[in-house]
Amino acid sequence: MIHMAITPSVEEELEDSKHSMESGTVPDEIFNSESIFELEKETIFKKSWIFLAHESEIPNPGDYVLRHICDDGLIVVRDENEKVRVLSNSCRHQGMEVCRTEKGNTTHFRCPYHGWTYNNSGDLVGVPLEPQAYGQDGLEKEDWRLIEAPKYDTYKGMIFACLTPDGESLETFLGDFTFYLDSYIDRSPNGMEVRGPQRRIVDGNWKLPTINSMGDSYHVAITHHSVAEIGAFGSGDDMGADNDEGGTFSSNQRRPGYEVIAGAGALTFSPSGTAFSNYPEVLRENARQHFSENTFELFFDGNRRPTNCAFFPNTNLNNTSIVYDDGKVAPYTYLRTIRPLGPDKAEVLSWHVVEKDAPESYKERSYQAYLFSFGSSGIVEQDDVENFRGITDVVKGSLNKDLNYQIGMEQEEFEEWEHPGTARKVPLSEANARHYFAQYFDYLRSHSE
Amino acid sequence: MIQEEIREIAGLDDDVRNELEAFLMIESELLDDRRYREWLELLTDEIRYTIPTVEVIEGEHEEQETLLQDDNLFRIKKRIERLETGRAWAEIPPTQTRHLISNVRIRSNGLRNGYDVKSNFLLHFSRREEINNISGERQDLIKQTKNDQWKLDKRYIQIDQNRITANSLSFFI
Repeated sequence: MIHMAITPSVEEELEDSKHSMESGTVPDEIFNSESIFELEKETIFKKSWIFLAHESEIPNPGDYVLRHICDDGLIVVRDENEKVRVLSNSCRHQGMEVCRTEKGNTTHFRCPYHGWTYNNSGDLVGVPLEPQAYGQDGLEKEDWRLIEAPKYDTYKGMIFACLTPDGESLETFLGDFTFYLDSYIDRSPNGMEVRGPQRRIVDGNWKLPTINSMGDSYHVAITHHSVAEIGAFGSGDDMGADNDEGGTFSSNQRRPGYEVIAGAGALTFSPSGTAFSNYPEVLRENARQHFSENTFELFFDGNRRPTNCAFFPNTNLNNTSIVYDDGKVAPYTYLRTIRPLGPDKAEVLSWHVVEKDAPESYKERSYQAYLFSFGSSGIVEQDDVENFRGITDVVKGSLNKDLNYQIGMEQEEFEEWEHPGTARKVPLSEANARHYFAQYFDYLRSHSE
Repeated sequence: MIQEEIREIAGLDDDVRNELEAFLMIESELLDDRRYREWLELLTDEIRYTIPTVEVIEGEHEEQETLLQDDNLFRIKKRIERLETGRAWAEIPPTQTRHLISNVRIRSNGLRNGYDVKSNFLLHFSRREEINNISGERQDLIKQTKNDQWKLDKRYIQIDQNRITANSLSFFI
């Protein structure tokens, strides 16, 4: 039930199932509105699958990390039977947090209030002064397990949870996007691992990084101009730094890439060749063993490779590279998820992703390349964050308007695309962002169901 | 042992202490005044500038340190070059920083002319209407070169935030 006022333009958007897809616009208040945020919590964060952690963060029995879906504190733990569980971090007695450390290893979670003790599967195993409190028959402990997230599941090491028990499975939710997700998180038969997370607050609306990552090829030459200018995007296939006379975009912007939409996500196959630049031969061989010939060629050998991607509602990945030392380029993969703290504030978690059995020297330089570009001190991400912050700040005002996501409305699909989903072979498109909004408004509309 | 440490710190040669403290003061002034090229002159070619995340971990949970920044001279120079392009939007307008350095603890580190210099910092920073600060400890290795110049060879910065409150670390701590 929505108690707060939604503006007429948002109401119209909610009633008209195709509005933003057909108009190519969205009302700007979705990026800074308390009432819309409440609606998002009730719909999207209640019903959608939300990424929480990677299995490599909790490799051993008893390992756990503390994560959130909005305000729901969740313990993501590997129990003594090596099963991953997602448990609500609230004692069944009187609600106190049973886990107050961000990560660790424990056999039991003990509430510091009255001492109720749970094993790491969430079973209540200990109640102090049980006979005195609950009589000779004691307490029926099976009835007082830690609440488990209604649904949780793992895709290729990525652990997700959902706060609604019914609805689609994780694989159905991700749909065809899993095919592309594999180029980020499943490149080797020996598995992949993450390093992180970095955690920080960004004063921006939680949706903006995901919409940007889904397929904003348009912003690169301008937002990241300074990075191109210092030659950090590498030689040859550089993003191009325009001269001061302004004028045309770099040659890359004129060359078409593939903007691909599949399932819950979308991505860009960039013509700039930054994905897997200088990728070690041993890892290429791993990947060649791991993917079909066609898929290997698509991801690694083409002159357009999977770079920035995102899937609904709040998780992004990127395969790219940067000059991290004199004359040296290293590729890296990052994973980023955004937890909303309010309409204008979000917690960003960021990890580096790499093959488990990659040579140590490669892991190190890839990690340095990632730190230099993305994360708190990343010279690429800083300027993106400035955009997210600025948009969120100004759209809070009352002079509301529609935002323009109209690039490529007339584009035709690239019929020769042989892989899952649909593609456009174009230099620029905002179709991927429109795909985000289509899902977004579907979820918001579901509040009346 | 602690009493010996106290005496060691107190008993350090006055000239060395004065020079190293002046080094830290001048270095802060250069950063706050955004005189980055002059600040670069205070770094050795082998400079390593590292900021780990704070991780409070319960029990036996082994893993590699997660870092926020891990720069060598090349990357530091590139950051400065980027600021000089006039198109580093995150720093236009620039962040106003104010480095407050205190609790300087200098120990000889066994090298002939190198000192382990620990200090506490409070970095107050502001950009447009945002006001924020980060506190922490710097663990520096400051060396004296052949021509008697003091240079920073290593800086390891422990910041006092589990979850970073700055949108970006777009400045030097």
